[in-house]
Amino acid sequence: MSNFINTVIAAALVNNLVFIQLVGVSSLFAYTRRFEAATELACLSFLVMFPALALAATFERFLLTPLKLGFLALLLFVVIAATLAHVLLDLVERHFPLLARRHRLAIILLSGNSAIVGAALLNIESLLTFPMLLASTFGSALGFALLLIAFAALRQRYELADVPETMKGPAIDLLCAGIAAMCFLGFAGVV
Amino acid sequence: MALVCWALVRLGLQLRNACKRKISIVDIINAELPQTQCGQCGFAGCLPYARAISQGEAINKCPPGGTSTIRRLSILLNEIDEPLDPAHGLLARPKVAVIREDECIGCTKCIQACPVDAIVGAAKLMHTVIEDECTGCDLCVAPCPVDCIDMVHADSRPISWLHPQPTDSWRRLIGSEPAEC
Amino acid sequence: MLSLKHFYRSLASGGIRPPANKAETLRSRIMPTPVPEQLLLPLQQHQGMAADVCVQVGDQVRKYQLLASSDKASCAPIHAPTSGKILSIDTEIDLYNTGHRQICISLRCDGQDEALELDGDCVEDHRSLSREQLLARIESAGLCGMGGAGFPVAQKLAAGRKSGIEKLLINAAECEPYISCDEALIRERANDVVRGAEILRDASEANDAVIAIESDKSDAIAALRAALVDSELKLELVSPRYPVGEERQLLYNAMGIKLSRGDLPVDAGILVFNAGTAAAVCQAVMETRPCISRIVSVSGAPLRTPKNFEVLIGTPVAHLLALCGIDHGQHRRTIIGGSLMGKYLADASYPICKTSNSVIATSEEEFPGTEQEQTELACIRCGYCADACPENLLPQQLLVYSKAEQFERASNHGLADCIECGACAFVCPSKIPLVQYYRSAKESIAWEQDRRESGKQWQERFQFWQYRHKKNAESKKDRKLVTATDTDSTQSEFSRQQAREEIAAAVARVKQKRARKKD
Repeated sequence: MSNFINTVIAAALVNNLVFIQLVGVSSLFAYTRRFEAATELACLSFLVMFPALALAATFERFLLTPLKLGFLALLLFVVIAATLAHVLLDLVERHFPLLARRHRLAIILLSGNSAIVGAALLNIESLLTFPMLLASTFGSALGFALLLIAFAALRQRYELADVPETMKGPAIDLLCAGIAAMCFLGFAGVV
Repeated sequence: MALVCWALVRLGLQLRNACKRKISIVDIINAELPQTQCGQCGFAGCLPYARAISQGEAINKCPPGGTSTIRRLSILLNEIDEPLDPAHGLLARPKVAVIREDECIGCTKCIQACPVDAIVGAAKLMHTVIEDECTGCDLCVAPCPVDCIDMVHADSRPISWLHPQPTDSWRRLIGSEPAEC
Repeated sequence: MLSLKHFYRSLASGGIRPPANKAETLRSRIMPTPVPEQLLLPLQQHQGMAADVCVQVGDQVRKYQLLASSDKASCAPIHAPTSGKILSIDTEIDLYNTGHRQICISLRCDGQDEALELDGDCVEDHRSLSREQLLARIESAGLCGMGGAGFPVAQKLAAGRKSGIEKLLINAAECEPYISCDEALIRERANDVVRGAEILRDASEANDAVIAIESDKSDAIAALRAALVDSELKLELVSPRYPVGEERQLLYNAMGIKLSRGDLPVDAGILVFNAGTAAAVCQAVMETRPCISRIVSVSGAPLRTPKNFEVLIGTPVAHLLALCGIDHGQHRRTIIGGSLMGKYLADASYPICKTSNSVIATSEEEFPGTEQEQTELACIRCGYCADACPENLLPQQLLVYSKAEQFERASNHGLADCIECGACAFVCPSKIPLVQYYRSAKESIAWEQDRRESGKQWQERFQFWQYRHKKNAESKKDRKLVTATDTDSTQSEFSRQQAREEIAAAVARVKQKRARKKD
């Protein structure tokens, strides 16, 4: 059990997708600067990301590798992510119209999200056993969701701060992301 | 295991029911609009504009609501807090219509134009505006054949006087007009 | 001595200790003021509704005569402070330059001070009167709270009786610098205060009454102790600290009761009255004397002899300043109601109201500039404001949200709990006028709320309008039939053609009129 927990923490914090692996960095800046909206979006992206990664890992382990079809991996992953994102969008639109109005664009963007595809591709190279791989995908998705929330909170905070005129906008965003990424290096010794 | 599944299904059903009972998205947006029914956004009233917003219309087309309405809508819909679209009118302090009663000829045209029935009067008799009910929508000004309707600042009434913020940013909230007005 | 309990409570609720500046006014006894030439009596000197005038211009009135009253509960009657002639009943003044114009009765005093016979007997012991009689006497005396907020006493008592009152708290903690009117009052008339407290306790059907006073007012405490010898009332000493005299603060410091957000003391079963109010209640009930005067601290550097005065309501502030020997060269502006919570008076000829507890004449050295004129520096996040805040709010955070107009967040951080005491602005090293920002944000929130309320109303009316038009369109055919058959009805005389001609004629008339005006 502790093994699983270790794997989840390692995937979520120590090898955080965005800050350490540097995939899907764009999602930090593109999505939202409001904490509440970011929380909703984080839940939605977790709902897409975890099944997509799990499915991708399953297909890769039990279909592509035995059949030696590794070159199709990228295509397959994109298809999985896009399908899941659209299923989610459909469900959300039917049951939560306000939520759909708020996050329509972001959910559509999730279908081609580099974080999902990137994480799936990184998983191919991992040497973990399949259950451990599932735990790792869970951690990856969790880490991504967590980061969306944390970074929106951070942006919201410095939005009101007295930032010098030349540093306003993307400059301060990138600076803060850089500092936050360095902070995440501090998790290196945790697991 | 089965128990957990059953609990999850129950939870899902409950969630769905809760969603069904919820008021529609148009009503939620409509509640944020100022309800002046002035039509400056290009739609025939606030509800049609709310319906259009729910379908993806821009949120910065409401001059009477001004910055505060745009801010609230942008939070509600998770959109960028854009400034008001000047094509639909400029920010203005809230106004009310006042009829210069000695010039009114009693033609009832403004009564028919008023979307909230805030003008009282009868044919050939003087009309007057119920100040509390007036939304300041401007719709009665154009039909008046003798131009006896003035729009005056609602702020001149002491009840709506606000303490100025030291930096005067309160003016941005309710909108301000050039100094000569 | 301050007990350990009260010391802990004072630590737990922040606050500041500004220089008291009370010694000058306390040097002499309370002085009666000579009757000025003219009095201005605002019709609304308290929260609630304005009273209706019941005299006419030119009337000769006598002292204690009723000038304005109303049968509304939220309204306190106004009596003539002295005899004289009514000059006008519609003088408009704007006391604090806020745009809230008030209507005043202007009274020219004749100096005779002829008093009306007071109806009702003087009583030695209020227990001989029933509760209803007590309430009636308090109501007809036109009493309202003398601490500053000025809630009509009778209305407060009625509200308290309705919801049930357990305890009564008499607020003798006067924490604002420069103000010493309650301290002087207690020093000289402690018996009145104690008796007034007993009357209020019996009138509100409370079991218990507590007088709370700051522990550094030794003369007043001694006087109170002497007056309390054969009374069941209790005395609580609280730590001398601004703003301990604020209602919510005092409840915690004297009784250990913390009110939750938005609650009034009545909701916790407690009524709070000012010591000055208690003394006035004593006079109103024992002698049936209406509220025509109050004690006012007149203080400030430009005054040669700052004093506490017993002032007739409506006396111009300039009259008081002149009595203290004002140095006009030094005098800049005048504050009513304390240096921290008070407001700048728009004009020195404006009157003392029932709620004005102090007048401060400011000099340039003591009060450099107004809040707006001071240069505001950047917030350096020193956190002094958070230490000083008596309500344990986060002033920095509130400031950031108020400035950025993120009112939802400001409300979530408890902006509504801010009592606008000004402790945060007092300690701020960057001279940020925090209270002004909060006040502005609060009003903007209220304004938006108001706008939304009226929006709902407008929506309803618009929907009805739409419904009516639809209905009219549907029944148009029927109506046409009716008008065709009903030729002799008066309605049919109003034909469309005729109406058009009439409109054209009227337009021509107005145009002519305008042309004539232009010439």
